[in-house]
Amino acid sequence: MKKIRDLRTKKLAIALALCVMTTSVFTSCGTGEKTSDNDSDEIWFYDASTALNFGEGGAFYYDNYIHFLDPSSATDSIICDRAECEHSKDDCPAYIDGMTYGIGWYDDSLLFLTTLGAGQLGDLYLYESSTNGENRKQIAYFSNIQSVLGCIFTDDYVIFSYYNQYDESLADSTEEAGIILYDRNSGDEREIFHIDGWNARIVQMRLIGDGLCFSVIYYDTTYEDVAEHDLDYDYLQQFFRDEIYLMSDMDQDAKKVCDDAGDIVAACDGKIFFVSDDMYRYDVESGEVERMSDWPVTSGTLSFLDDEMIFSRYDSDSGMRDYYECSAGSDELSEIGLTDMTILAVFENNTYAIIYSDDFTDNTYGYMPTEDFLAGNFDSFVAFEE
Amino acid sequence: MLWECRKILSVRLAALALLLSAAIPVIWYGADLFSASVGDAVTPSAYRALVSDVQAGDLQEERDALDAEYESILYDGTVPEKMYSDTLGGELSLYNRVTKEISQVLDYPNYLESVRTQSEWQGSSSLHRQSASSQRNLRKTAADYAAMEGTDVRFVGTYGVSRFMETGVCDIVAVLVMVFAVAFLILPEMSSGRVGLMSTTAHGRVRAAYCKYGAGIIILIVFMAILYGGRLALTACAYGLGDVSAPFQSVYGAQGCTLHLTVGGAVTVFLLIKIFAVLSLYSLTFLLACLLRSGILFYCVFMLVLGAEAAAYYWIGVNSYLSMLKWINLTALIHTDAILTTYKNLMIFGYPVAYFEVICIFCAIIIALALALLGIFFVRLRFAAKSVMPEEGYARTESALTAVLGGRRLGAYEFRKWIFYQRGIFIIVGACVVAALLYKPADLRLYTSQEIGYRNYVREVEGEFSQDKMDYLYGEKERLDEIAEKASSGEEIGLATSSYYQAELSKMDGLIKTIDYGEYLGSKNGLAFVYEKGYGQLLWGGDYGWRLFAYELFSIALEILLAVLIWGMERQSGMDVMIAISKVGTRRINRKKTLQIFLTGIVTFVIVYVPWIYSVLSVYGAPCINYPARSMMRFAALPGWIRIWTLLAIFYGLHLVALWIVGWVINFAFARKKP
Repeated sequence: MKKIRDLRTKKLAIALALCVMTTSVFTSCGTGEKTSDNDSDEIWFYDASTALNFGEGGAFYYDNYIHFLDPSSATDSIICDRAECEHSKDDCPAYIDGMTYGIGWYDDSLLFLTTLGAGQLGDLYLYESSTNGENRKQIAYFSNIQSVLGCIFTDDYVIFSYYNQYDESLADSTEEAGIILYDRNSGDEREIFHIDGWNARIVQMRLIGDGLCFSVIYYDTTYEDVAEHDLDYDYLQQFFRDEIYLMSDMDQDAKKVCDDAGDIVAACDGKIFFVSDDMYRYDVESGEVERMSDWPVTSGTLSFLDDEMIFSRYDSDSGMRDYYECSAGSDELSEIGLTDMTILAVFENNTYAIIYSDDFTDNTYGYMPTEDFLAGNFDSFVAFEE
Repeated sequence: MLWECRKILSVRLAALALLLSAAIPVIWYGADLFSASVGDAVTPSAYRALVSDVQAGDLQEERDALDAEYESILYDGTVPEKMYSDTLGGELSLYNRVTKEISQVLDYPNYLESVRTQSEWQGSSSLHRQSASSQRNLRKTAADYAAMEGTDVRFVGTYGVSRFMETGVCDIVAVLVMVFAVAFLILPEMSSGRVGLMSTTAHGRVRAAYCKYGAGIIILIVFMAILYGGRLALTACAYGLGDVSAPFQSVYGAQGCTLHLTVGGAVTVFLLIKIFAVLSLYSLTFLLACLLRSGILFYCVFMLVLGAEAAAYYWIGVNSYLSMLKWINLTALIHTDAILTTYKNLMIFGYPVAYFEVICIFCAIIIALALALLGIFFVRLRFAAKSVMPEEGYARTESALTAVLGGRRLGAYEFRKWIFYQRGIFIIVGACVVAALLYKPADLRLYTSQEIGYRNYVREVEGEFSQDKMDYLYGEKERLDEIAEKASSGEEIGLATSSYYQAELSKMDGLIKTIDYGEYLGSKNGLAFVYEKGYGQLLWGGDYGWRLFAYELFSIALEILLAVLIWGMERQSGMDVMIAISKVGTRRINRKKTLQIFLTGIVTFVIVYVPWIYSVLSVYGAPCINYPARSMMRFAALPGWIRIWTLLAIFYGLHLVALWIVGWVINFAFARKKP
């Protein structure tokens, strides 16, 4: 009897081992080894205004299919790597049947925030896939996220801002906004900031050191009150809030650092620049706000340079933009040059830009080496070819 | 081996069933082909006539002409000079099909060129440059398609080939026949214990195993030859197979195939893969039967495995990380057309392997495994009559159960028979697992503003009807009318007001529906406002009609299985003759068995319906359950004394009674003819 039992145990063990082996074969089959590493400390930044996801290695955008703007080959192509694919919806790995926001590329995998697979409004998922969009796996689920405005992927986190306008039955307005942080190492998620108020939006998010700063706008009143005084701008203005918050690191609570602020235009080395009626600089260490009236700039550009910030000013005479740089720790701006292109994001090696067409329907996306951009050599701009 | 074949075929019923299983699908298929004149399908005569006309002319010109004709029928309703089919709809389908076939032929060189350029283009992207597997895949794809350069793709009218290769009823029948072949070959001898007597030496038993296995293969090959041979002959008669010497890529939808095959060769390969696939399924099933040693367990496990495989095939997305389970799958084996016509590489350890090759290897491994293990498993079948459980454990469980249930009473013994000796407990546990897997809680999904508005208003006034509630609803109507007036007055309003108005006016449809409902309630006495959506889900399925129907099917299937255990135990083995000493005794046993049927009906009801009722009521609640059922407009014709709870009790009571009837009727399936 004992022998039979031993035999059975052995058979069971073999069967289990076979199961484990088969499973591991199945799950490992799709992942090919990579020939070289993608840059470490890679940041991918989703900008809702352009619907582009910028990173040092390129940029992604979504139009039912995920596209990749590749600086190394100056191409704009669908991420599908099947040469025979006719890119016809479900069969194509680049096709995503759901609104897709942030996309990040890490080594041989993509991360993307999407409503793919959502059962109802408010469902949002974080997926991981191969770089060609195959082998998709849901790695996180977020509930009650109706619209995503901004998203940042880092090696450790996925951070995104959202706002909601409806309750679960889509009947009434529940105006709220917030920021969700997903820890890529532990798989935990938490809401690091939440605000209720009519038209609440997290307008800008910038990484600063190990932390995050962001600007928030909202009306500190109810939906019905706003409707009642819809045309009474003076009345509504008293409820309008425009604030800047700072988290010195991702484990700290967000602290309001400025009231009546404005858009964050740059942040670097403990300094946050924002624009309202003028350009201002907030010093994180001292907590002081300084008005930069002598600075000729009115705006900033998304910059991921270690110690430089990029500012700009629209020159109405020429209809072009004048770009400036400012080193961290310096109060001096130095002019880069005047150009008809709009710089979208500046990374250590690549600078992304757009040239708007007259009617804004046939815009040209492209890039140039950051070295050239900082030297004011805009001629090295190369358009992404479809 | 032939003796084993004869053993099956000599049972007249089995031989007849086999013949009918081949004939009925073929007749069905033939009827489907030749009755294509119904509706807008492409009819055989029309297709052949058009193909013959197109082949006579220049392909490019013919395609342009067909396109123009198609558009003039579609947009202007022009009747063409020469009608190939009886209806304009049929004509459109015909033109559409033939145009696609011609386009594939004309565009094939461009298709090859586009694959070449795409592989270069995608290979240069830094996104894929870093992935060695991606690079390998691109190189393989380019090489595979480069080898197709110069293929002389021609328009030969291959709709018949496409139809022949479609996956359909024939394939399902082939799988069913395969299962029953295994069941006939092994299970009767196993369940009766004859297997222990059949061959007394291990060597003899191994020989018997391979003979049975071989016999099944012979029967299946003959069966499939009749099934698919008939199908091919009918297709050839209806649409023709075109020029069988033309490259397979001439067939519409097969341009992805990178095998150098002619149409005739492809049909042969298709048949070989089909047979290979069914034989590998057969091998796996045969092994399963030998391993499980029990008829019921075999059918349950087989259904579970096949169900899981089918679920994996249909539910796993092509781009999921689990897609390997979709492609290397028993259900995928049946879709032979996709294996042959689709270009697909599976990445095995980062290396691309053609899907066609993977499937062939998969089938070969299954068959090899079966051949290797068959002797080992079958040799142990002689112990099948003994308990699968260790004897000691079996005896302890049996005595414990006897102590708990009272071993001397007849009813308790009948209970123990089906739940323990017949292993009904496993079926119940299995059903619970399946129910838990399939269980999906009801959710409160509302799709339109009318639904939302209606829900909100009815919930506000829920409870006994009163004029005050109606006045409130009329007041709301007046308020919304005022807003509608303001919104359409043209006066300047801001964005927030506009959005506020819009949100408020979206409630109007729901409000009007609520007022109609209220007026209905007012016309009768003692009724109440009830938000009936939850009751709707329970009583007529509502949005979940299919789910209630699926539960009904599931519960009936479960009840049949359990009833078979109760009624069939003695009847299958002939033991009923032994225990039927007196009529009184038989009646007494039958009464006790009927009690067991009542019990199984309740168990089935609890497993299937109770979670569903709980799920719906937990989401929607049970508002006004003590009010007349005719508070719901759908039940306006019911008398006032029927309360909502009464209606629910009757509805689900009838479901329970239906289960009891089903269980009781099974008794007659085992009825023995009087000598």
